Amino acid sequence: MPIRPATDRHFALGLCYVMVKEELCDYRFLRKDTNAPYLVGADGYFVRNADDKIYVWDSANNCAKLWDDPTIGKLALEGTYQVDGKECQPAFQKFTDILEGCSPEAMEKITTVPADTTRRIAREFAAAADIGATIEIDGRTLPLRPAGYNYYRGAQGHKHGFQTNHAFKMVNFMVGNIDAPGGLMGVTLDDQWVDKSHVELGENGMMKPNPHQLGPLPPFDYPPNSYDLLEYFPVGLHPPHLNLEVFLNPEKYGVEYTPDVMVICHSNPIWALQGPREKWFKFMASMRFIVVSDIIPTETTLWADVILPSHDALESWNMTMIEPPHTEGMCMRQPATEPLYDTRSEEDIFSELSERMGILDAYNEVINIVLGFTHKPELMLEPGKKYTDKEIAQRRGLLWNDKDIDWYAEHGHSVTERRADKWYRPWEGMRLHFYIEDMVKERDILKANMEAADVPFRHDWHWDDYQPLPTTVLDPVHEEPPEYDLYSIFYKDVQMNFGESLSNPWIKDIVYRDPVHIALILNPKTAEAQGLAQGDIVKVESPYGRIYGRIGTSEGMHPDTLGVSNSLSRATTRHSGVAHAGGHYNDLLPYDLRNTDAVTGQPETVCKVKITRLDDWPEVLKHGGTVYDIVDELSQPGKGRSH
Amino acid sequence: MARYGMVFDLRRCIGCNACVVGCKQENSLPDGVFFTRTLSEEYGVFPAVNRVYIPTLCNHCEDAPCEKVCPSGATYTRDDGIVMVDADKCIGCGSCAVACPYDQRTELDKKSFEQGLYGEGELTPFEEQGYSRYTPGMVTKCDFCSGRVDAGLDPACVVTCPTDARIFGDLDDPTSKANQLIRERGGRAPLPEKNTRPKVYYVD
Repeated sequence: MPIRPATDRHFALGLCYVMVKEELCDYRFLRKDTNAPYLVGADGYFVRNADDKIYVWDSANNCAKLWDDPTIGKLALEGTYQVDGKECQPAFQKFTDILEGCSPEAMEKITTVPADTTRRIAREFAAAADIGATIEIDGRTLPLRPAGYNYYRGAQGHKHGFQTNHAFKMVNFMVGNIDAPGGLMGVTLDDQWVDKSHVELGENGMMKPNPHQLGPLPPFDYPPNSYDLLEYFPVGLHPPHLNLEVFLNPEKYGVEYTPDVMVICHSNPIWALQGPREKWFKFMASMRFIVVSDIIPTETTLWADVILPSHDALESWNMTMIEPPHTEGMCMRQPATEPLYDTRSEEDIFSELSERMGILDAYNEVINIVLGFTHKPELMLEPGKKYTDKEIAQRRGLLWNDKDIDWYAEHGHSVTERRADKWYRPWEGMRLHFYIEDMVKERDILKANMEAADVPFRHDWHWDDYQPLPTTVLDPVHEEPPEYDLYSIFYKDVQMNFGESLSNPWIKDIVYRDPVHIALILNPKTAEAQGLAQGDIVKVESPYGRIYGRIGTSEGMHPDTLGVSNSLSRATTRHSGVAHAGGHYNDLLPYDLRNTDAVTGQPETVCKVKITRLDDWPEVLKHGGTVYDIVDELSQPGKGRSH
Repeated sequence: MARYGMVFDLRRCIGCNACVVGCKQENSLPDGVFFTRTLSEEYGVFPAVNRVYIPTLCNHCEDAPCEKVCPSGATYTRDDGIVMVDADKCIGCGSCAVACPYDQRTELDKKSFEQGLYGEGELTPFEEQGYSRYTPGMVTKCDFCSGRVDAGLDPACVVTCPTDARIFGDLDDPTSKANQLIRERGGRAPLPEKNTRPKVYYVD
């Protein structure tokens, strides 16, 4: 279904509206498995007694009771009540109040998805979910819910990404398909050992939130300890684009140090980060020393004072659990060939660097924690010792299933179907967070910390981003000046999950023959309305940056949108197989707080642009070697030509 | 004796081109040379628009026009139906490329062997071992990975396909999956009006 960029949340809320109004919900799930019946006060917090226990409303007995009171007759999901002199409502009622403004007709104005389509999808989705159906697996009776609303970064990667993610989750909550056979299944990155559980009981019967996948949030501090301000974002990983924001405005953020050494391992930030390249170049140029370890030359290795070339995947050992949808276990990789060049494994490089810097013991300690070796102390790396890639791989295999590396060499992997008790409703008996009170809590904690530390930028902080339920607030991309009359999106494809794969000549040979990857794509009607034709050279400007390119058309593009393929993102490097195009889509994107989710640090991934037709390429693109030069050469007819 | 052929299940092809990469790797093909391709075309008008993917390779025709016009006998058909090109006999005249109605013949330009995959005039060890099977200037094509077939393996594109959209097998064996698919789902040969009797079929 075609949709205007950065409006998926509004579509999802439209679906929820229909399901609530037409009572197409799994009320048993909402009452028993979520905090939807918990009573919420006007301040956004659950209503608690003196012992911090949360109240619910028993509609059978028409009175408030504590959530775990065995005498509850029927949990109310709707209504407004008075408890301990406070007006309050079940969390579900709070959500239905928001949904009053989310009719499919109202959402159509934002999403362009016809209201009838939204109604049809909502009904089909609820019908397919087959609410009430069950299935028996391994002796457990489980809800069978063969319908799910799945989503990836393109849909949720916006200023209000947390709310957007929550809205999608709500569609799934409505039909009770969370971790149910056929429904939306949670995914762990790495189980590390076969019995590891990712689920813990938190307060008041709810599952304990685990907002930082890669470790605990750094403690609050001001001046900030992290240059990317990580300690101010209660959920998420890292907001790397904010390095640039802080670098350009050090006084505003009160930073007391300026980073001047960079160590980069097999990543290409100068290509991957949003914001204009020229500004990132200034950031890189300010560094005293840059060390990069990689297997191929990239845009980032160009900046390195020292490159430490590492083994290719086919020259090294590795053991890892592939991000599991429905499988678990370790996959081993072993060298297919001796190293062709003078390279080392990343394990060798980093343990040797650590030794020379005098931090080897601390490095080993971190590896023990990150890879879970602390779970089996006999596998822990010892202080003062360096370990090879093979020794690390061996330990990971032993940690998973006690099998040594010889066993893995024979079997290749220990992957099995995911164990049903870990796969289906591993949180059985706990309540899921329909209403995320932690948002309100985290907001108030951060506010109090910032007040106490007199943090000057607290007045610019987006406190409204912390919402316990998803709302219809528009992402700021929709409010750019009107001269930017088109949305622009970025897409990748199955051949090039990452643009780096374009440095592989086989993949390049395929991608540069595909019309959707060799032009800036407009819907044909939009192109006509803009006075543009296929093949026109254009300048594309956003409020933040600009790129150049050549226009192509596709009926598959939304009429409001300019699509930019990942294949046009590379810049000239020392890699002779990489061709530059007219700039990177990331140049068009903002890197500021206005477009950053204050909850997660998620930057906006969509922008508004205006297009200007040019008579010729700008000077920088006139000297050959661009993607467009390659494309023109490939399209020449001749013997043995392409189809 | 088997009569080898291939069936493409268009319902299954997702256009990922893994087959193309698998083929290039197995056959050490230089830049710009393809023994198999995935064609694609957009159809419909916004908002009802979609894309169709059509894999192609040499059809190993029973009445192969390329074989008929080959003046040196380089092109020949094996007993199991695989149409082959003998690198030692090919004189690079290109008649086969003109005769093939499916555009499946490619001249192996001398330059592409010298330039290498990275265009630097230097071959990687992988290319060095792989290019020895070709004579620069020859005009060649897919041979269903005949070496693999002789070893009892499926062609590289078939084993690489993540959706099982390519089915290789003995077309004369009524129990083979290829034979069954052609019968049950009405396999269609490409350009039947050319009377080449392809051993490659499409089902959708």
